[in-house]
Amino acid sequence: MKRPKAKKWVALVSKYGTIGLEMGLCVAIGVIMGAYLDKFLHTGPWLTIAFTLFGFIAGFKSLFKLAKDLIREEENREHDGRKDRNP
Amino acid sequence: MEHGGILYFKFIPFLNKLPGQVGNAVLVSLVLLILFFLGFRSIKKKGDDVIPDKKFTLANFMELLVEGCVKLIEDNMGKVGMSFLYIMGSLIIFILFNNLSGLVPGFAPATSNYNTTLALALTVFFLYQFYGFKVHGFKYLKHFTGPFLWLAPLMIPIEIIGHLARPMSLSLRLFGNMMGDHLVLAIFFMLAPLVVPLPIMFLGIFVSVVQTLVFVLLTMAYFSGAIEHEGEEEEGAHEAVEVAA
Repeated sequence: MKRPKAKKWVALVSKYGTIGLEMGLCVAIGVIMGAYLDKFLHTGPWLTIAFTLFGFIAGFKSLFKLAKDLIREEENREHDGRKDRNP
Repeated sequence: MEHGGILYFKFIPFLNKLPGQVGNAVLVSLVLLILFFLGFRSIKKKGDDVIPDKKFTLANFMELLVEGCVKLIEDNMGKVGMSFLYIMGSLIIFILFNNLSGLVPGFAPATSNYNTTLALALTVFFLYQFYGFKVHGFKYLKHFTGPFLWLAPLMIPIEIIGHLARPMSLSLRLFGNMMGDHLVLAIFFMLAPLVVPLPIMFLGIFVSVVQTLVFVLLTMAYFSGAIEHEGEEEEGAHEAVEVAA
């Protein structure tokens, strides 16, 4: 297997290194949004709970999207490899 | 962060009344402006000469910088990217030189203050939403409603949270890296000012370049995510070129 070049390495860092921060921030933004909405609408704890769950889902959705991209990339690479072997 | 030492922008008449990060950003931009003005003049004087100079001149430096920006954008966004050359190029140059200015004594980098990075990230956020609306029109809202219409009440808050997390993560990453680097450097200078900070300064160059690239690559990913059509990427790219140009 080929080692990634220097520029490729930075691209990988920017793509996969961002997921941890983004998952945490999604939950945090969800909680803060829910708490403020509760404060203004006087709806008890319900919106906080709902938006926390939305935050979790948003974080996992970005992870899921990344995994889907990775799978598609792998498939493309396999496809290209086969084409190279039997021209 | 409070600085004990001398800061250059304190000596310039109008800049010393501004807050620290703004003064430094303006000072770095002024230096860049003078450099680019001189480089532009030397390029004009050279005419359309294809052969580069023997020594490393300002004109070479400018050509190197612009070529690097163009290549980075074309590699990551394709042909559509050239319509975003101005915003991407300004982001690259501003962030890179502000990061690197932290290694020069007398500069406190503007990017180690959260105000600056949040301003940059919010600019990116509003611009990519604007270009999304410009390319797709009202259909851009379909990006937020998810695959089925009956899922829309669930998907809209999720997508809004996901989109709000983007500028936050962009700004926090750049701020955290630059602030941490600067702080470590300051502490090492305080403890052992002679040779010990050198590896940290080398690490500082590395971190500055990598964080610039990470910021710009993520910005490009957000822009191309906003302007692409789902499923029909090739046609979308052509349309996007026409609309954005």
